[in-house]
Amino acid sequence: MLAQEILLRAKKHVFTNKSAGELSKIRGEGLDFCEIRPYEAGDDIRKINFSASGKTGELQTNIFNENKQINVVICIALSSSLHFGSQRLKSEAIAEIIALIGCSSIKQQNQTQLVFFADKTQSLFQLNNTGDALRAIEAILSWDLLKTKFDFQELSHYLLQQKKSMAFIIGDFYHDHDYSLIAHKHQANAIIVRDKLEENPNFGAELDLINPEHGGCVKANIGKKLALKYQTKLHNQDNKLFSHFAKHRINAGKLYTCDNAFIKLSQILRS
Amino acid sequence: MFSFEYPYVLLLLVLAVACVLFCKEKKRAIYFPNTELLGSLTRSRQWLLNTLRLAILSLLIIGLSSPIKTQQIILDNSKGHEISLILDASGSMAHLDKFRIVKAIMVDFISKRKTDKIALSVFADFAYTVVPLTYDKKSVIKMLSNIEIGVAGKRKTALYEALFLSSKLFNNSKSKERIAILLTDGKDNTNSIPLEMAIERAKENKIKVYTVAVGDQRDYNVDILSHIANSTGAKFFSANSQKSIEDIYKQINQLEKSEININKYEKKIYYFHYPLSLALIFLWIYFWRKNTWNLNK
Repeated sequence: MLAQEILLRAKKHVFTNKSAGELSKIRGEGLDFCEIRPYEAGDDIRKINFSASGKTGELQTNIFNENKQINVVICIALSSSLHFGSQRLKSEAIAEIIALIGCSSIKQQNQTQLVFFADKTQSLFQLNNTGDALRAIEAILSWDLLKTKFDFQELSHYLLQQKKSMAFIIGDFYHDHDYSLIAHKHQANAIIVRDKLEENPNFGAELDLINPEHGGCVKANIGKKLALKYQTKLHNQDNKLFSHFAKHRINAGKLYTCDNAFIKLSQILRS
Repeated sequence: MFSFEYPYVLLLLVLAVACVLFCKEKKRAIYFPNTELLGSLTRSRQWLLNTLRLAILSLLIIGLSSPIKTQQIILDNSKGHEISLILDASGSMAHLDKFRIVKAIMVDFISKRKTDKIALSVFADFAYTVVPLTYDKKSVIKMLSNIEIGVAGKRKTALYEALFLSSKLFNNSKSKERIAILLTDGKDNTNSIPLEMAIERAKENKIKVYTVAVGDQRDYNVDILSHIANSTGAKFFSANSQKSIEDIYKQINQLEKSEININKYEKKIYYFHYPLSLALIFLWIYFWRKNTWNLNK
C-alpha cells in the first residue's frame, strides 16, 4: 500500500469524524464535561454549579477534561516479526495506525513525536503537519525489518526521560517486558498488532518456517491440532500480558491486519 | 552363525545417517514470527519423524544386505559308501510276502547308513531308476515304501538290464568304493542286455555288485549270481528266511568303509523379511504422522 494512500484514508477518517475530538483523560481546563464534585479550596469559582449546589445544600463545582495541547508520543517497537501478514503486512497496519493517530494529533495541534525503536537505535519524527506524517509512513514502509530486533530498554529509557505525555506503544508484543514505570509516568496505550494467521497458523501444509530475526528454520507440518495447541499457548501468553497492562492501568487492545484500523483504534482508545 | 549375505551393503548406513542429517527436504518456506513458541511444540514431532526416516532407511539397507543364519552341515563321508540298491519287483516277489519283508529290511538298512549315498532301482519287465545317488534318506525310504509289485511289470525279470542301468548311476561318481546290492528271486528272462555287457559296465565303473538271492534255490540261477558277484569283487548271498536276509544286510552293513568325497552343506535361513516388514510398518506410521493434517482437516 502506498504511503500516500494510507495517509489520505487516515485524513478522511480523522477530519470527517467529530466524535473523537478529545483523547485526553487529564482533568483541567476545557469544554469536555467530566463530573460534578464538592467545591474545594483553590477551585475556579466560575465553575461552581449553582443548580447542583442548590439541590445538595453545599457548593458543587463542574470538572472538565483538559482541553489544552497535550504531548503525544507514538513509539513503534520495530522487530523482524512485523514482516508478516496474510492480507497485508503488520508493518503496513502500523503505518495506518501512525497515520490515524498522527493526523488526529495534528488536528488537535498537539505536540506529537513519533519514534521508531529498532535494535539500539531510535529514529525520531516530529509530526507537525501531514507532510511529516507522510515521511514517517514512508519510513516504516521502506524499513528493512528482517533481522531487526526491538530493544525494550531503549524504549523505556526514552519514555522515562520525556515529560508527561500520552504514549502510544505499538508493536506485536511477543516478549515479556515490564511496562509499569512507563505507565507510572505517562498515560500509556498499548496497541498490539497481530495477524489472524499468526495466531491460528493452520497452514495445512508442510512448511519451513523461518525466523526473520535470526534466520533459524523450524520444519512444521501444522494441522488443526497443532494450530490449536499453539493458539492456546499464545492465548495464555497474551492473557498474562493483558493482566500486566490492566494492573498498571495501561489502555491496551489488539488490532488485526484485517481489521478496519480506524474503527478498531477508536474502540481501543475509548475503552 | 548370524551374518549378512551382502555385508558391504551395510556401508550405505553411513550414507543414510548423512542423508537424514544433511539432506534437507526442499519445502516452501515463509517467514513466521514467534517461531520459538512453535518450535517448542513441533520439536518432539520433528524428532519422531527424523527417527522414523532413519529407521526406515536403516531397516531397508539391513534388509538389502540380507541377514542370514548359516548352519554348516558337514556330512562326514570320509568313511562312507555309495550304494545302489537294486530291487526285484516282479510278480514272483509277492510269493510268501517276500517283497514286503525285503522292503522292511531295506528300509532298516537305509536308515542305518547315515553317511552313505543311496540310490534305488527296481526291475521286473524293465528296469528303471527310482532315486539316483543321494544323501536324502527320507526320500529314498519314502519312494521305497511307495513301490509295489507291478510298477515295472509283473511277468518278466530284467536282471541284467537293472545291473546295467544301475552301473550308469556311478558314471560321475568320484568315490573309490562303489557298491550295488542286487536282490532278486528269479532269473533274467528278458535278454534286453547281455550278461557280460552288464558285468563289463559294472567292472568299468568299479562297482562291487553284491548279489542276494531270496526264495527257492530253483527259482534263481546261483551260478550267474555268483559269477556277477565274483567278477566285480563282491560276494553272493542266498537266503530263504527273513532272518537270513536280515543277516545278509547286516554283513553288508559291516563292510569296510572307504573314503569318498567330503560334502559340506550350508543351510541358510533368510531373515530379510523381518527388517522389511518393520520398515513397512514404520513407513506407514511415517506417512500417517506426516499427513495427519489431511485427516484433521
